[in-house]
Amino acid sequence: MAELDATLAALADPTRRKVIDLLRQGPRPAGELAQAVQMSAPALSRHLRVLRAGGLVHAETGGTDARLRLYTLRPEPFAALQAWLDQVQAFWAEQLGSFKEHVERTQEDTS
Amino acid sequence: MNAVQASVTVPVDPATAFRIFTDEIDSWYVRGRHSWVDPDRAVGIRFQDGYLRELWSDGGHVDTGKIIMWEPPRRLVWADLINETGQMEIEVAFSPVDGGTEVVLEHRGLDTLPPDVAGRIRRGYSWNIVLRWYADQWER
Repeated sequence: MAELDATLAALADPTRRKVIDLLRQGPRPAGELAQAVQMSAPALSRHLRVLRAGGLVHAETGGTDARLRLYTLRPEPFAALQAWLDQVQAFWAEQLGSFKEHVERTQEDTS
Repeated sequence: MNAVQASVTVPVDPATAFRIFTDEIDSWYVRGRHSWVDPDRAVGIRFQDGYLRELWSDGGHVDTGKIIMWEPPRRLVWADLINETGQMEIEVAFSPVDGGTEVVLEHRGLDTLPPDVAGRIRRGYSWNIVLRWYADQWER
């Protein structure tokens, strides 16, 4: 539950969603990400910190320069999010299924 | 991951499907302890005065949605009022097809919830429900 909250909180920001989209294509260093979202490295690092804290991305800590860290997506939180979205859909599918049954019942009564 | 969709085809024309969906929601809406904002008091659900409204046994109610488009027989959109600072919408579209009407429901804006989502998220009906389902999944 806490993990899902962190995932949703991290995804609530458009810059962070853009970073996620970029990382779908493969791992990237922070500097390239900053360039791609047209943001200074320090400004983006705030967002990257949120993504790391939420467990959505993993940073390879090689050198001392943070911009050279290689960022990679972690699949686990997305699997959890998908499971949750599936439940939202299941809720509506059940409601619509019940709606259909009601319509069919109503039609039988009137025909 | 912004939206989910569900759909069904019913054997009536769009105008009838729209009318039954709205006027008769209380007759088909699936009841369950997770389907209500306040399960202890909830007795009914209705589209009323421009809102989707949950009615309570003590005469009170809570508005769970605000109608933002009411275009019979084609479509209906309401804004989620449970998670006030998010911008979730539910759109229901009715299209004529062979043998009846296809009803497509889209719940969108799932990624617009604010960063302090933790405290708010559990209050909504769908969020409430699905989070409990979600939690149940870990207990299995």
